[in-house]
Amino acid sequence: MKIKHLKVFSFLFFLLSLQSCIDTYDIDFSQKNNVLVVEGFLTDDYLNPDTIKIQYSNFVDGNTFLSSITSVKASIVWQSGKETSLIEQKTGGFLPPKDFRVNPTEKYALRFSLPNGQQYESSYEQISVTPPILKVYDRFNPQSKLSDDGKKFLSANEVYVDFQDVPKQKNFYLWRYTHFERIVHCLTCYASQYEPKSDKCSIKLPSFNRTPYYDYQCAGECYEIIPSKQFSVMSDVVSDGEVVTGRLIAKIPYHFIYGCLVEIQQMSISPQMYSFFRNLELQGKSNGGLADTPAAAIVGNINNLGSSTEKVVGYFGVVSLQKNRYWIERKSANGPYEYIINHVPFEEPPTSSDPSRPPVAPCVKSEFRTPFRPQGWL
Amino acid sequence: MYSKLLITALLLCVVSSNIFSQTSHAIIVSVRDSSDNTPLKDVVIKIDAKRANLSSNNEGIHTFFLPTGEFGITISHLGYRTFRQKLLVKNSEISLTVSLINVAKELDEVTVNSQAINGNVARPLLGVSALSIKAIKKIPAMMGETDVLRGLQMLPGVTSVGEAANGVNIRGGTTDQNLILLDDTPIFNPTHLFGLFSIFPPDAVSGLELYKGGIPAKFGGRASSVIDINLINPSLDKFKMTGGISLVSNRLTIETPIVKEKLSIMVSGRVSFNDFIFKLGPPKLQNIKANFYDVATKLFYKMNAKNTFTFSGYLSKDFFQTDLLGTIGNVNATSTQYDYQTSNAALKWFHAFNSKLNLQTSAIYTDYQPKTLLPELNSDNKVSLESGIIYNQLKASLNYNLNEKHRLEGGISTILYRINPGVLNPGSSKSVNYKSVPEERSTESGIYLEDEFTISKKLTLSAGLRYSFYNALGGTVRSYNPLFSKTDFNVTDSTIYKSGETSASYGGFEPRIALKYSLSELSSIKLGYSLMRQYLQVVSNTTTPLPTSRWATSNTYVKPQVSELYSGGIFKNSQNNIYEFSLEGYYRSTENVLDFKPGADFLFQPYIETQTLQGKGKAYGLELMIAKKKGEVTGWINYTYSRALNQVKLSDRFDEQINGGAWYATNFDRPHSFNATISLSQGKHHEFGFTFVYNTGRPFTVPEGFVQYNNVKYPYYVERNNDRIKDYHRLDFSWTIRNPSMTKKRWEGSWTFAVYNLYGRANAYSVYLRSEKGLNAYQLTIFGSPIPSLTYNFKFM
Repeated sequence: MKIKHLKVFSFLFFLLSLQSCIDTYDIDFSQKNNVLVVEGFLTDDYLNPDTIKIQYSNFVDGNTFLSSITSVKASIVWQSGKETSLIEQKTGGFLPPKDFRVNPTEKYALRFSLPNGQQYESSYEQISVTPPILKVYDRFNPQSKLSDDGKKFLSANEVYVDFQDVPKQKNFYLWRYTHFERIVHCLTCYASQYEPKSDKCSIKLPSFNRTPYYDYQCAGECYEIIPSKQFSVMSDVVSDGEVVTGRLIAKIPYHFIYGCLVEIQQMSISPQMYSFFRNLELQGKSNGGLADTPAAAIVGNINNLGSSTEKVVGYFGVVSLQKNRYWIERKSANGPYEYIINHVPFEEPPTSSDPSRPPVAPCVKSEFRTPFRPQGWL
Repeated sequence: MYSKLLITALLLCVVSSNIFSQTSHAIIVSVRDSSDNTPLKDVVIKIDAKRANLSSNNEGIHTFFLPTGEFGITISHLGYRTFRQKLLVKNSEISLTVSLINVAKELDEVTVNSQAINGNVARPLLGVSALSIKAIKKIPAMMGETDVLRGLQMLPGVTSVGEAANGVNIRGGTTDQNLILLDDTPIFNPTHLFGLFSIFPPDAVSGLELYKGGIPAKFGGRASSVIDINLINPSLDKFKMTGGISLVSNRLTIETPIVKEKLSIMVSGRVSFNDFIFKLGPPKLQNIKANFYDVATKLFYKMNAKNTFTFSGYLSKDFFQTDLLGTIGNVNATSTQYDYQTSNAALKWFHAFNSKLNLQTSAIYTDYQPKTLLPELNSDNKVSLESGIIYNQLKASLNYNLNEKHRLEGGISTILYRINPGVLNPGSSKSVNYKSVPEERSTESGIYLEDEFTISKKLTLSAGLRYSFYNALGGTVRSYNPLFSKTDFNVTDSTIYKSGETSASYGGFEPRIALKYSLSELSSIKLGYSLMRQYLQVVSNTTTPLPTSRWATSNTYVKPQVSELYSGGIFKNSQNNIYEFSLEGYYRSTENVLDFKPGADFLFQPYIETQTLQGKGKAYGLELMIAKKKGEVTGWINYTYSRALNQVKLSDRFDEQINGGAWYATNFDRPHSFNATISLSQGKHHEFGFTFVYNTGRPFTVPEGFVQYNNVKYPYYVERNNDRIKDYHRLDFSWTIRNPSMTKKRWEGSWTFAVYNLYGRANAYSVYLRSEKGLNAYQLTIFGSPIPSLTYNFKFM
């Protein structure tokens, strides 16, 4: 046998052996827990302040949901001794008073008490200047990331920012974004049809011989508001004082052929806050690879004053925001869509007997949807 | 003699009519012992697998009859190697003289214990295994690459975290607690392609010795074990060339005398360039680029009968790019590439003063240079992160065979470590600055004396004492506020030490004691105690260290690891030393084992104490091993029960303890382990190999649940390593056909067909969780299906 034949045989053998490397693994997620979670920062964006939410995250039978806590008393504590009560909102969460302004020379902490008498307080944080975003740009990458099961690549428009790092000091940055996508379908009915009068999927269909759902178009314009799936953090340890270019801060999936809008928020954060969000970023990125960081509890700077063993998830930060609204054209995007509704749309077919069908579904305003065109939408 | 001939003639007469009627012919076979020509009676002769109807005499002459035709003849006898041959019967009687090989007088086919005959029983060696390259080559190889580290994992007490593990775990130790020596030079990264293959060129290695129990006093610097791998000594009188071609790499080794009986050289090279195949694999592999080469050389100069000089050199280089590994978060790069190189050299002078006293002096140099390359977006520029260890050692050892009762060895050694923790070279980047962490310098010295004292015929004592001392030189030492964790924000003061000035020093005695008591000539019991100190370690919080993981020496806050090992065992050999049996137990406690704070980051961190934690470790186990060293069927099986646990609690603070300060299973705690290696030799041309491996699944961390934070679900971890991945098992097979032309030529080729993971077990390498599309757990499998391979090997002598 000649050497080239050996290579060919070996190569064929190797191809035979290249099968899927990732399979689902059974883990019993039947545990129950509820963990206190604190979201939101104290910012210098006084027109659109962050809502500080104090909730329980519950995990029951493999499902995660948030439950609100009533009669929470929350305040901002100034290191100089002052205390400002936060105002509870009807929709949940707390906002600082409208005339509250962050003093750059002051340090602030979050203090709150629960109806069960437990008292909590964060460490003190101080605002620092955030440099403006110099430039935002995007690039379509057909192999932007692997699917969860590792079996295919998913495409995305990758969004990058450039900014001038503040020289001669240690700086840490955090980015979050909100992604706006125009949607066509506002409602999906499973094994049923939409009934506009009751505004429910109340017409049951016993035999459903195709896809087990119908999608209903929106009554007018409707936009999905998609918050960041991940935080992105960076230290200027290698780029002190330089113009930082090409910082990847978002991967926007190829949902549709039309463009979409991304509102980017850039903020300077404290080193402790950087450590917390870096740990969070690493925990979310785990892919079973060789360099995965060990599993670690995501515990921030909020402590139960009566029990050192309680682990509260969340970090109370005081930050200055720099914003940029960026339009993604998706001109070079191609390939299969990653549908927002998580399935290929299938509309109820029209019938000659009832011209009112299929009906349209209203675009109901919520935290994640709006009928109003977002500012910056082209 | 006449009587024997007469019997034969009579027998021939009696059956003659039968013979002629069936046209049968007499087959007269004389069977003798190959070593002393003794006639062998009572042999079993089979014709085409059926027992022949024999008439035999006391002179080992056996007669039977066969008709015309072609037959397969097999001659076997208890304690001897079976003889097989084709027999063509034509029109006359056939006389055949067969010499059977006495298995007991053969050289060992596999050596998996101390090399001398009966040495495992007779010498006070505990937890010592010697594995010859011949034995390693009999083990079915993954993708055709004979692998020293995979061979090592077939021994009791040796495991790894999975297929892509950058090193092995010995008796519950971490990978960096093993001192790996290649011809006395230390190896800091023992694998190519991120753990898939070991870096030791198989044709250039003569064998290895693993010391996991009683470690001789001449070795120091690691808390767990010593793996001593030797390159072959080039022949002073013969040219020899060996090589091979496999899917992964091509190999060539040449040994040749330069000046006959005076000077000779060995050069061995291996190169891989087959990463194009990854593009045809599943998406996860498609972006992998992976190539490597290694070159080993040895120059041997025999000046005279009393003086020899040896120079050993080794160079290894890897290039690897994969999406499976993370990038360096603070540099904006489009991908991550790894480029790492090992350069080792050793010069040794051996001087024999007389037949009892000799001196060996060595100068050793190792330079390990891992590099991470970060290509920038919209640019040809690559930012590079370079680090490295430069290791210089001088050592001398004196061996003195005082008399039959005392074998003495003493010596001194000193090492200078120069560690470059990281230099960031921005190239033409406008966003990235040049950055470096100051070089860390330290010295480690040792002095030792050891005596193997034969107290009586039954009792032997090996008593060694090593004293090691360590100095960290120069640098800045911080003081921290004791009320808080050691972080960059709790610094109260700093002291700057000049280059060469001692900033921290440690040291102490390291006794090594082993006692052997012979129960009989073929059995003994042994007890041992060893203390080891380790001043150099990998600081990496990944499951298996990456080739680019940082090494760091002890400093004011990072204390040296100190391990104490207690072991005992029963050793027994069968008559003629064909079978070896051993049962060993051990308990090791280690102080100052290294662990890491949640989210630890060592990149550009000069003060690693802000990221590390230190605690206690304990490991214990029982190892049972049975080996068959000679005969047609050779191999070994072993079972190990072992545990490896750590405890870390520096304070009550959340970030200074693990699992609330309770003992927890380490990543490589695998209680049950069973290995079997069987080699079946069928004549000179065919050999079959089987290996079977079983290990309890290694621990991993399952979250207590998930929490929803900022619209994303995150796993909520409470305890580390609170569950195990599924058990690991695998069967491998190989079939080697040697010299298929069956003619004796200087060029001899052989083919090996091997199947790794024969029954396609999808062993989990790791389990991870994703929550983007619901809560799902996935297992990553490195080799989830059978991997066939075909390798061509040759030798030219």
